[in-house]
Amino acid sequence: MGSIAGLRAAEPLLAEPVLAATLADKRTAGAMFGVLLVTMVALALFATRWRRPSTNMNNLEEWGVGGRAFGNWVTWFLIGGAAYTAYTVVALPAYAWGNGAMAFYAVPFALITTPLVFLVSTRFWSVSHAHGFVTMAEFARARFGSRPLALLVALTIIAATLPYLALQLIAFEAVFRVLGVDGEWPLIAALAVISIATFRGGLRAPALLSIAKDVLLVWLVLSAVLVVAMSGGWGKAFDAADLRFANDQNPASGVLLSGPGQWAYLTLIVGSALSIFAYPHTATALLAAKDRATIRRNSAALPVYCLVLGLMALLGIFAVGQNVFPVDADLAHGNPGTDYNTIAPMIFNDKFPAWSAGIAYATIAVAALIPAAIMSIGVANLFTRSIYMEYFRPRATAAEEARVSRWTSLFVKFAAAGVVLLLSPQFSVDLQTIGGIIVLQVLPAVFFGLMTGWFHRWSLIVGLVTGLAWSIYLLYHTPVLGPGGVVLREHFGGSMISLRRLGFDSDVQVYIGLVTLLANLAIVVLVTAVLKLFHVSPNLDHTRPEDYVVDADVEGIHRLDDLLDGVPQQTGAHALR
Amino acid sequence: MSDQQSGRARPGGPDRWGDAETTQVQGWDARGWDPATPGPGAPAPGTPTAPSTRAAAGWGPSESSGWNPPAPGQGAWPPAPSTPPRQALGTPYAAAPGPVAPPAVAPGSVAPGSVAPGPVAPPAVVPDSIAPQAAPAGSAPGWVPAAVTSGPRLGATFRPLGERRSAQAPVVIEGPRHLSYSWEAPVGVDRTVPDRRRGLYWLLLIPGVMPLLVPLYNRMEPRLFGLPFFYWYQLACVLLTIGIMTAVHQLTKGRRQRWGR
Repeated sequence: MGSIAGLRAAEPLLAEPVLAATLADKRTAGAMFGVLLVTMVALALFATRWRRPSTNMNNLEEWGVGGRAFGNWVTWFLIGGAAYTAYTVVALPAYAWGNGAMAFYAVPFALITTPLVFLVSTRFWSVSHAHGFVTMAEFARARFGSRPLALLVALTIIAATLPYLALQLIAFEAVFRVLGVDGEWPLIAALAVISIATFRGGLRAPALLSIAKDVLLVWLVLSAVLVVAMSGGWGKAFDAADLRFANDQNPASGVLLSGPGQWAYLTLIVGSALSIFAYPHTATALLAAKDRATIRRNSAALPVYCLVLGLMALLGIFAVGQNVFPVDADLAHGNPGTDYNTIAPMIFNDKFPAWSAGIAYATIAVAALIPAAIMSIGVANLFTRSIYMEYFRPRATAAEEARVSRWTSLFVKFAAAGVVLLLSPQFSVDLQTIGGIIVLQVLPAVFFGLMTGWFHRWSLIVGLVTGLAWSIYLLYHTPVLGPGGVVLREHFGGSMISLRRLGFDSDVQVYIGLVTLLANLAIVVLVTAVLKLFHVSPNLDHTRPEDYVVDADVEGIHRLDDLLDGVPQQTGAHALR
Repeated sequence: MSDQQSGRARPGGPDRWGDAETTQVQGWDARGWDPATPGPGAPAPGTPTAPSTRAAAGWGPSESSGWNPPAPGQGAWPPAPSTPPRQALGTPYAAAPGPVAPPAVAPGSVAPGSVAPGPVAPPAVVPDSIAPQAAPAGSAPGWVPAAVTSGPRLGATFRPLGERRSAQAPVVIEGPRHLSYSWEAPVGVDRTVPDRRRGLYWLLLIPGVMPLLVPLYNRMEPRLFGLPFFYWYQLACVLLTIGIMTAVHQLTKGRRQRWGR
């Protein structure tokens, strides 16, 4: 801000002094960004050595060395890095900039996951360590004794996670677009580095990067708070935003929620919170924890990230009053810009000092790579264990399993990069909208299954398929409406549905995912009741009640070291019959 | 995690680990079969008694001094009072432990359910929640403890309690590796949460429900630092959640086990 004024005074001969100042600022920001990114790369590659005992890792003795699994702090960083993605950092301010209060859903959504993590994820940790599971599909297979169910669960989760991964890469690219760097090489280079790091280091690479990211995030938060304070405080920001929202064409935007928007908010919170227990990234991060108490303590500490989410959303609202626009905006010609993913980087570009903006960009970039790595690990494990080894090569050795897993992880990352680079971003956003809803359909098997094994496996399959079909049907028939009811886009217009379309006499909007999940659950319960009434083919539950409370100090528990280290175990923690 | 020097589970003692919520499996205490508890098939007096002191006071080198993994035939070694996965014949999982166990059991070695010379393995010390063991004399249910068989080892990674991991024999795995259904090891339920404290988990309903009261907080006034009520209420919910969950964790983490170094 000050630098722009200074340059204007110093270089009045430039036709567009603002542009010149932006270039110089961009160079500073770019330099800072470059330095930090190179540091992150070095850290990621160093991660293979981090916390690794110096002796032969395949030695069983090493299992006894304390500190191999992640304790309180590292788990906190890793879960934070997994769950609070770059897409969150980029999409939240963009959503808030466009819609106002609705974007704040991220705070209560992330908040109500924490008691659920406290109660339910500890059970997932225990049963996974008791049996050597690294994925939720394996758990579903053991709990309900059904291979088709596990296959469907795995396919659904993979299909839902891939677009989410692609969106991280889109967020990563948005930073480079704001910096003016075009081309594909930054994305390819970053993915190559993260792939190498995860090959050699397993989850240690994302864990170490998460710590570095949080260091940068602290600075980002401080900068944001300072900038807002220096610009007149929140009161003025909200008054200015209120004015803008009142005059724009979007009826749902506002500093507060509209009437129907309240239900949309509520259902979006619940649906999104439940989806965290279906996506593989948080689950994979949780499995790396040392013991149950680590998860419990972390679930009490994770809400701190919710404060960061809130700040991101508030920053978007602040940007409204500060006349921040997307990078492709051309105000002179009345074009307010369409590349909403660049709102967050533009806030940093316009409002932060240049070097601080560079730090913010680096935060976004790293915050994109970490969940990309963890998600690709999760997807690769799902594919390897529930599809490859289940149906193609049941007798694969541990080395072969690790090899397949790594190559799948690599393929997944670069396939997502290909989609991002070659297809329009809107495609990925649409897929993510679908993915966020279809992933909820695995919850009866994977989330509720942690608490009870009462459901019959056939009912779960029926419910899953029905939920998937109905979700896609409803999404397909949700258009994007412009002002005056004009249909802008016919299909996949969003994830909200009016109750009127479901037959109720109300204009309240609800989240499609929650509706279809409830239908799914209803079907599961009904069909299970019928099947149990006639004693049809009871489930074979391979887990026991005590498996869900076993803790790390029990002899014989799986350490899941291959998840942590990325190399196969000699005897195979998962090498069981 | 194992302490390789002493064979104990926790190198740093309980403080390092904190305490996790546990439950009392009905009728079954400690880290598995406790030979000190009365029950049919308890070992004869001639067997090493260190396991009983170990079970009573937590186990570690001081308690189990002199206790060595029993050679096959001594019979006092406490196999996990576990069963094979409850299987229906003909399912893909029926193959899991079945084919391997009977041929692998060396004569005289202890297998759950088989009759050993000397003290009988205690199949009856099985909690009600687990299906009863197969009848003795031949119909070995299939799980064989690693230390007492020389054949292909099934099952996860169970070893006799207290045995050093370095003494682990090399493992030969048969069959599909990834069918992980023979986790047979006992469960660590040595720390208990008093039942009355489990009611504290209902406190978690507060941070769960407060953010969901949307119509109640969807307003502008009163403001805090210029933030409308809608926004700072939700941020306040965050702080409240941290507080309540920390309190619930502290209050429900159970008594610390004294490991006794």
